[in-house]
Amino acid sequence: VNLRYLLFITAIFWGLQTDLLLWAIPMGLVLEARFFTDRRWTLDKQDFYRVADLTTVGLLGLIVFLLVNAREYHFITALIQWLPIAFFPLVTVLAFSTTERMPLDVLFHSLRRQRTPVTQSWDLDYLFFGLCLVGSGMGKARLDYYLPVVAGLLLFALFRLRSPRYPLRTWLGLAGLLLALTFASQYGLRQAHLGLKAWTQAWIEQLLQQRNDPLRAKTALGSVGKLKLSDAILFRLQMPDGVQPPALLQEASYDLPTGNDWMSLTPELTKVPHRGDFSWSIEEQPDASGSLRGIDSSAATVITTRVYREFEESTTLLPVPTNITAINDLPALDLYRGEFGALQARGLLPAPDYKMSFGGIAHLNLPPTDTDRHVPAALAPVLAEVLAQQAPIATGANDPRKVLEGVFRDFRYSLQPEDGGALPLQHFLLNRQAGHCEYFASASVLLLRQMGIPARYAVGYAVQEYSPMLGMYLVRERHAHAWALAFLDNQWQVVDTTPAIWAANEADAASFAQPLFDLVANGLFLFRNWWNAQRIEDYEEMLYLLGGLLSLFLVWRISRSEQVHISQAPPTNTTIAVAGQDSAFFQAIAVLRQQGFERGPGELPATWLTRIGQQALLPALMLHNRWRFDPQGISAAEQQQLRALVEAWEAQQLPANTTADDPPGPPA
Amino acid sequence: VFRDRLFRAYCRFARRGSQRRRRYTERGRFVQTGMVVCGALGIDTDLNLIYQLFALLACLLLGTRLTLWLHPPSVSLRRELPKYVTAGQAFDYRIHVTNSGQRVEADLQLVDNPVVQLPSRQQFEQQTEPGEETRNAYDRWIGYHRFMWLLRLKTGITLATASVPTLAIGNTRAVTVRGEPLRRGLVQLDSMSVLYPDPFALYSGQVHFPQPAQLLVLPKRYAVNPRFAFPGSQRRQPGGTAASQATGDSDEFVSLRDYRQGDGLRRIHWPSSARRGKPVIKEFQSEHFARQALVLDSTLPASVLFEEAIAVAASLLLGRPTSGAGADPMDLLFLSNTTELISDAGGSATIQQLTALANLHSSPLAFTVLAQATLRHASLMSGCVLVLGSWGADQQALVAGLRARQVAVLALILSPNSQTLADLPADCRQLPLGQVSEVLGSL
Repeated sequence: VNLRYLLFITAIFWGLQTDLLLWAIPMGLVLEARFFTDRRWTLDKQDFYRVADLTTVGLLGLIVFLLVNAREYHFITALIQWLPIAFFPLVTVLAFSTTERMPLDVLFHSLRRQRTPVTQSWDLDYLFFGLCLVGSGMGKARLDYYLPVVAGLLLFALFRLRSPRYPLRTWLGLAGLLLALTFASQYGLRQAHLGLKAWTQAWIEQLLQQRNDPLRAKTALGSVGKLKLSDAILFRLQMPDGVQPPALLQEASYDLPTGNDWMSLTPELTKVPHRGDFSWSIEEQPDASGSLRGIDSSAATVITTRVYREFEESTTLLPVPTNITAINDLPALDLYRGEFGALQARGLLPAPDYKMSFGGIAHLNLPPTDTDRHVPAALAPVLAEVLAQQAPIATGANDPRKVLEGVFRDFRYSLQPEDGGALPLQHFLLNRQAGHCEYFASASVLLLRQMGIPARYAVGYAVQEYSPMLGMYLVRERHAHAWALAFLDNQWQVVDTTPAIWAANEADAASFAQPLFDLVANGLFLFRNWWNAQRIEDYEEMLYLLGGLLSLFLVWRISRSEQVHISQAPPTNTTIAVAGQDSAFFQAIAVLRQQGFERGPGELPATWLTRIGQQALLPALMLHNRWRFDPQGISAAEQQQLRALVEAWEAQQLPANTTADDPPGPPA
Repeated sequence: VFRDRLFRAYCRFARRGSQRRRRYTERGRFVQTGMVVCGALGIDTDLNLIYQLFALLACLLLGTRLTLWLHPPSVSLRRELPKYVTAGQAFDYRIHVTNSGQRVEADLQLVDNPVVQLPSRQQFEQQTEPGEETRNAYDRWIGYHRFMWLLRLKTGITLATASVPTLAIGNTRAVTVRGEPLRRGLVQLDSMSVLYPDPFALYSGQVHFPQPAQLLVLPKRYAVNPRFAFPGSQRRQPGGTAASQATGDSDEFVSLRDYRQGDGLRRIHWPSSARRGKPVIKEFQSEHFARQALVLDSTLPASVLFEEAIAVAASLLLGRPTSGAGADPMDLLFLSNTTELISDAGGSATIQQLTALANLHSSPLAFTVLAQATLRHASLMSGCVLVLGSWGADQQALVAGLRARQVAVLALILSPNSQTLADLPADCRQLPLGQVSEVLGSL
């Protein structure tokens, strides 16, 4: 009774806050309806167990649904928002049953086996109330009225339950004080969080330079300790039948070596114009003067491939072939391109896949500038020395690839970095002659430049693993690669000097359980693809049928249970209804009392009447006794007769009473 | 080492646990849980608004906690305990609460605090909770339920919280408190606590009133078949030696006494009962009686079997007829550190016998000591009931010895399982644990 009206209002508020009003209104009405009907079902433990099990199944279903649809719903948010719906059947069944509180063994399966009966119980109305309050706060909307409404509802519930120990003004004063305190502290919490967030963000940014920065690439040159890249599958590539994938997908290229890192100095990113919703055409290339000129790719065969990738950040670089022509179905707000072949998608939304088309000449990287010929002064002597050693061997000196082949002929691939001192590249070239792709790529770029050829450092992924299970190419995090770009024959060409063994080498380092992980990951991927292809419309009829059957079963179950009217339930204070309470004979007794006649203790009414000379009342007494004590009672006609007898007697008494000076008194 | 740590943690928890648990009302716990949940969900204030709800609940809890000093109750208490109670049977007693302050005292609750007796490490390791095998593996490993069971058993009593009616200034009201003793022996009560809520009724403040007391808990009893004829009565042995001693009792009225459970309704003295407001029984002098003996094998090791043996003995002492044929005095013979015989010659020693059983510990003496003492007293007995825990050669010899001395014997043999004992004589009955109640009810 305490939550009358309150539960309804709370449910409506929850519905408004979570856009579930269509659920909230019927739920609120159903819960409120119990205060307008006295009909209750006498359900036993087994019935409650069944409903609780149903709730559990529903809850599990909800969790699975949310996990599978993690792209569309924020798991915790949606779960908490929908919890009132999940618990509604249980709350309703309890509300309309003769049980007041839910024993805990109904809610917790583990308690059902316990030998001693469970005595603890919960008031599910309050649980529902709390779930609605929490659920309504899970939305992202920053609504100013959330706190006042919630505080109002909560204090109203507490007001009805307040202790009679304190006067009302104490309670009201305290409530006001607490509200003020609450508003101040929630503001403080928010500000504290914002401050903390700003501080940690700055700190993390300082700590980590992320790969999705088109202006700076951090390398592991010179760092010590074994490099171990994750085996996790980053994305999957579906090629048309019989078509080889591009060997390398470039994320960005850089022109300026700074210590152990590579940077690019042109920070401007230009927006790629939309061709349609979520599709962009990248067939233009700005020339040296800065104006865009179209690329004629009509002659080349354009291949379209589908990329399955779940973006974890809203802004990221797309790994693409450098002869990319178009991107379609990419769930991003905008696409930007940099001068050094970086394609950056911004405002990415969760969606399973996108398409990219490529073909023709590589045009993503802009023509070389002076920076592409720059060699750091510290390394120039080393590079010259290395090239000088090669000069006699490399007869075809005009082919720089041959020269580089010669340089790196005896180099080994190694994921075990070594402390190379201040100049790790010098250590790599002269002493160690082993390293990972970043060493090879960096050294190649600088050697090419030393030979007078414009060169750049490029990063991205190598596409090399085919999964027969999926019929797709898998790109893992450890397939990340770096290579050199050389401007030869008037276009940028890939010069990858890393020994070809690197891929096998990396694969050897993978965990032995990798096939198992892959199986699970690929299985989930296939399931999600299938699930995404499903549409609820296809199953509509089946769902209606299932829902109908379930409802029918529930209605049948409940209608079979015994029903009682709570107003008819045996009252706790036992006032037993006695027949004949309104017997006219009592009037006669009252008249006799007025006259001063009292029945002695233990004296039978008949004896009494005889003693005081009122035998005239004996027939009426007979009827009266039958009315009161005969289980079958007396008929309406006999009641009428009794009344007539008493009235006749009273009519006789009245004149006698007024005339008699000295009525026969009561016994002493 | 883990179990050891666990045990000590449980002990710490048990010492302070009950008082700490009382600090929150059910509503308060709900709000507190809500606060924790909201704290976890609302940690990211960008994501949702739950941090506002968290702030509300936290302020509510903090604010109301501080208001407990607003109006602590000023009352005084007096406890009125019964003399004896029976293990396993709930009883009511009264606590008189007087408002000694200058304000009306409303919405108070009263709780009596028994002295918490912690189980020993050894008990925690060795004793198993009844029904422990039905618990899951984790519960069995953690042993929490076992500890709590031991704690309850050692403490010996559970006492319910009672509501105090509104007290006007200077007013005294009696509050009925319900208790349930869980084991026989002495139960110590330590103090009483008065709980009072804050304005929002989220917390309970506590005021303690130290008032030590102790309560004697008589052994648990089973109902004995009312038609059961104890050995040595004239009905069982017509023409035997016992018959000449027991030819019935006269209705020579001796005194009135308080009603004890099991007394016949016919013997209630209604006028006195009406005057005193509680049932009163007429007692009659038995002029001729058969003298019976109840021999309890208290040499059994302390165990469930020992406890059951005491319960059976107590049931028999109180289960025999209190009037008419068979209402004969029954002496109790058992071993403590020495041989003890509590004679019932006057017919009024039952309560002493029960008190002795309530405080009985397992005896270090041998069974043969008891057997010899029994045979020594055999000349006084017309019938003898033996409550035994095993059926070995000593026990069989004792029964044979008694029979040879013309004493009618009934041997009740408790056994830990329902496996039937071989060649049991007709006057011996087996009482498997768990079926004691049924067997005694159908003797």
